[in-house]
Amino acid sequence: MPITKDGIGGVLFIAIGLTALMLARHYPAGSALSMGPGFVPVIVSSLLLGLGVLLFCRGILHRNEEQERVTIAWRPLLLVTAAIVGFALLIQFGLIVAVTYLVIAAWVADPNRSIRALPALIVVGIGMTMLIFKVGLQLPISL
Amino acid sequence: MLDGLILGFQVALSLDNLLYCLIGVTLGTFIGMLPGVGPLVTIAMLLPMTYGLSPIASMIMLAGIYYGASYGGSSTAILVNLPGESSSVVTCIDGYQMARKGRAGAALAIAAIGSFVAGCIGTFGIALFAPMLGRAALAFGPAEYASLIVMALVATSVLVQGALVKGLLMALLGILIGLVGMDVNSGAMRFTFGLPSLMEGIDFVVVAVGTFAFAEIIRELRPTKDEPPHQVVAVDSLMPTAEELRQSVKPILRGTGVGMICGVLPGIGATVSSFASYILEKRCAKDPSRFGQGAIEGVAGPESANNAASQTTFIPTLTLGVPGSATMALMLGALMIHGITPGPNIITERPSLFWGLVASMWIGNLMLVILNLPLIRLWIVLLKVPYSWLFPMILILSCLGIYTLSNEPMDVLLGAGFGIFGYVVLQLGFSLAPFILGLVLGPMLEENLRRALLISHGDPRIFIESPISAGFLLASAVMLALLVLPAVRRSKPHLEQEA
Repeated sequence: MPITKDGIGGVLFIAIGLTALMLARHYPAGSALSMGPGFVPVIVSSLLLGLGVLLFCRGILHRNEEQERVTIAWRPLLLVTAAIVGFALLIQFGLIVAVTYLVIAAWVADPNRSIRALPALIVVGIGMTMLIFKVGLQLPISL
Repeated sequence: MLDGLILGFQVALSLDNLLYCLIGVTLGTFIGMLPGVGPLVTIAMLLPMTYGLSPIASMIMLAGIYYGASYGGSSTAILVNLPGESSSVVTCIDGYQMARKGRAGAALAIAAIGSFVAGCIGTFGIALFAPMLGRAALAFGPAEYASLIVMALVATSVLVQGALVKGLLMALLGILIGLVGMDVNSGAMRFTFGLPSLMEGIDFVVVAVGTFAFAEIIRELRPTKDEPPHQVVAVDSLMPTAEELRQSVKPILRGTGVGMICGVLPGIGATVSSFASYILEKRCAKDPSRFGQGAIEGVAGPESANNAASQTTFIPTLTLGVPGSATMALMLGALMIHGITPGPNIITERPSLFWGLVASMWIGNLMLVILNLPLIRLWIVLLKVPYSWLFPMILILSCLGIYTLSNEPMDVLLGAGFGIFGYVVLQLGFSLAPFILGLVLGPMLEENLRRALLISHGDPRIFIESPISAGFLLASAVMLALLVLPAVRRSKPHLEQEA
């Protein structure tokens, strides 16, 4: 049985709905007169769960619609995420380190990269950062 | 109204605000011309940078970016058959054919003139109708607001690309994410997983940058199969012939009308209006077979419609606090960052903000005609900027934008998470517009629901006993019912994600 977009989407939202419902169960629901913090979360996560099931069933039954396979480009997904995560970890060492890393990591993720462009990219990237965040907005971030 | 407009022009014509307007429209055109970068990404990316500005300056600049990008988007549609954003998709059909026949200059000129005329009438429309709607909305109680928000969410879910269920799921998930953090009424922590950085809720900018900017970059970096470079058509004389001008007058006016109506309705916006206008022009034409072969009406109508809609969509956003599209949700978020909650009182409480923005729209439209027509050859150069140069800069601006919100690396990590999420759901055929709308409107919905039920002593009939509220709910139900009918579902045009 081919896996459809709706099938996977359904499973994703069933999982989200279930998790949210499990968490929301512990919040006091209150009554309609005085809604507790759990009132809306329970409604919203139940609807997510219900519609998720509906979408999943649609994915199983109507396999002729939107049949095309799900394509995930793993390479850019992982590399771009790694670039951002690395930036978050390196920013404590200052702007220049973090931005230089970010440009190199982004360059690696680019399928059309050329080694000659890299030094220029780093210079432009750091220059732009300085101009906007230091000179323009004058934010107190350590270099 | 006249007093308001005079005040507005005094505000908008101050040197600072003129400068921000110019920066906004220039940046908007710049970005609209760049391949692979849409107005949503731009606004999300630049939001953090407007924190330091005054509320009026930041709104003027963001609004300038918004309609500047739609001008730039139509230029690329005509010149390289590549819509810069979804509301220019229709312009490609006849605009590019005109360009291939050597009438690129005329098409660009008509698009700019049409947009300008629509912009002028649209601005006038805001000045006229927004105060009226604002006064009407003063009668809205919590029940009416809750129902209106439901209608806005349903309308957006119905109109986006993909199935209705998917739109509703994304709207609900947006609401759920909006609930994260401390409940303002009880102080209870919700969905925080014990993380201190989630206690104050997830910053709207983190979600917007993650799902729009990061996810878009991941999408653009897929390995390409040696696509041929875009052929840029040479631009000849910009003067349309007398015949072309005469043919365009009625489509421009009709398009403006269609656009203004579409802009005011929640969930419908610039994209739908341009499609509607194209269909209308085809119906009105004596010889419909010319459409698709380079009919100037097919450029004049939709281009006027999308610009009129871009303007009037500010009416519900500002006077009701209910945005009609993802871009407007970002604008609303920007206002809230400055501590301003748009609503019926915004015109009386902050007249200089409201009227200043209205006046700046007219000035911005004028600037755009000047920027776009004589300088079009300069802008064409931008079409050649490779994405390899663009996306590292977008990444830097986005990461630093998130980080500088509160100097918290955790926010950047959260943004990366939303990037993965945004990419995956886009690949699964979901749209992001209902999600971002749900995120912005979720807390408002909960608050109004709570108040409405408090007033009615817990009786849910309050939502159907008020005629206005019942009307909104009925409209939502009709939209849902229509879409469940298979015949309607099949004929639903495939619209791109609303910008």
